[in-house]
Amino acid sequence: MRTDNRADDELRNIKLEVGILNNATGSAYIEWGKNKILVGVYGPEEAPPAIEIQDKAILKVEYRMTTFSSLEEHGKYTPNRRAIEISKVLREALSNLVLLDKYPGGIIEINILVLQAEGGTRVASFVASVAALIDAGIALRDIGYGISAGKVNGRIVLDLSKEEDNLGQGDIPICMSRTGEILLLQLDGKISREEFEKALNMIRDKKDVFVNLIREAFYKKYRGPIDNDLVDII
Amino acid sequence: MMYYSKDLFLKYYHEYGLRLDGRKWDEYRKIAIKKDIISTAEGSAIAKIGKTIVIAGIKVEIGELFEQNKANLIVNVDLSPIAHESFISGPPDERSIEISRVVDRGFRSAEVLDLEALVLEPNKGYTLFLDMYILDYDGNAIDTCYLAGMGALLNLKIPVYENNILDRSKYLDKSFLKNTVYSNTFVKIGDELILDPNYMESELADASISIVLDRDRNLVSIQKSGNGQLTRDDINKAIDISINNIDKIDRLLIG
Repeated sequence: MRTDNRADDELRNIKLEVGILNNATGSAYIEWGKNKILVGVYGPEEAPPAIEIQDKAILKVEYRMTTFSSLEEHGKYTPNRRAIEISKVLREALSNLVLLDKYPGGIIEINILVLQAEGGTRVASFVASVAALIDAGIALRDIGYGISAGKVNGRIVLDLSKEEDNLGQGDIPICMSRTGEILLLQLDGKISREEFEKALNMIRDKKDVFVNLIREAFYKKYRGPIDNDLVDII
Repeated sequence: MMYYSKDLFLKYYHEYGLRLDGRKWDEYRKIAIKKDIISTAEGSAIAKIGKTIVIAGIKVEIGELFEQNKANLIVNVDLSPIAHESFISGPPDERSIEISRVVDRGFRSAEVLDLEALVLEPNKGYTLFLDMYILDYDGNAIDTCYLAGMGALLNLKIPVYENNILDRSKYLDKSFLKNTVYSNTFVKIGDELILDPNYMESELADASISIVLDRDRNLVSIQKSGNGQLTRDDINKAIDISINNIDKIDRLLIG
């Protein structure tokens, strides 16, 4: 039994909205369990000459947490080591999806701001970033999604909450493309090879949830009666 | 992007008596506030003026006092790169520091919080971090920060400190909240003074002035900014409008 009575492969509630920021080229807001994350994409723009790459675009990803986003003490104003690592692995995973060679000499910036965190922020950030990139009209080779699997009370379960993460025996955040390639993979804990296989399969089987989630978000943006307003949504 | 210039703004203003977005000189854009939106913070709010959005959150800790007999209040405004292409990550620049300090001064001078009552021992007391993040920027960050910050303070719950821990199941009664602040920002374009500048108007402006009042109509903070000049008449007009707006802003904050 899980702490919130979910089935082993049951995800927390997810709400995704796109096109909620005015200045960003594309934006998304995701609520996943108690996570609340805002993503703004700027670009593609011309890269500054000093960092420009001739034949493709540069992708910059910055993952930040607000100082009040976690139950722990007041956070630092500057990104800590954890945030810097997450920015790097997210950038690499997203670089795989973005058709960077379509934008030679360009730069695309993805700004992720975690407003409230409750376990699984990196995979939720990945999903929101994919949606924000689509909203920005940036060419992707495929859409992607991510879920954190884990081991709680000896069982492999999907989408650990903070509470489960704290009492669990392992955490495996994974991001995949729709076609099943692994784009982000981390593991922390004690997991058997069989359990690891199981986690990968369970996540692969959730593909449609995210395809639909992203599709619904764009239906709402383009067919909805009113503009998405963050003050109403949050 | 639409072409605009100071001449175009002034020509339109003189011909129609309206700004390019159709507002009168003393008219705010639409304002929205929502409180208690972040469960990991002890107080929070999101505020929107036009298309400018600010989120504010408060974290409460226990610490050594910086000033004797006064709890610590630390106010910070973050110009997050998510909000505007001109906001870049890294150490705060002078614009960001000015906004932070202007917002800090109003809350501090008005004594919005009874910091003396939040002292626990001679050198120990509560530390309150009030942090604001600009999420989308279309001018007038200062008033939007004041609204979000004041909204967060209005629903601030301070946990009781007992046996050396903050007990997040018990809260102090709300008597620590003593005052309310209201900020109105104006800019001067040519000879025209206008309230609540959007991004375009702030780009055209020669000078700006933020007037911060408390609930007893005291002036608690003023900041004039920019190379241009203001007349005594401009300042009087700005104060009059700011006083008139207190009730309206109060209703939005409490509502």
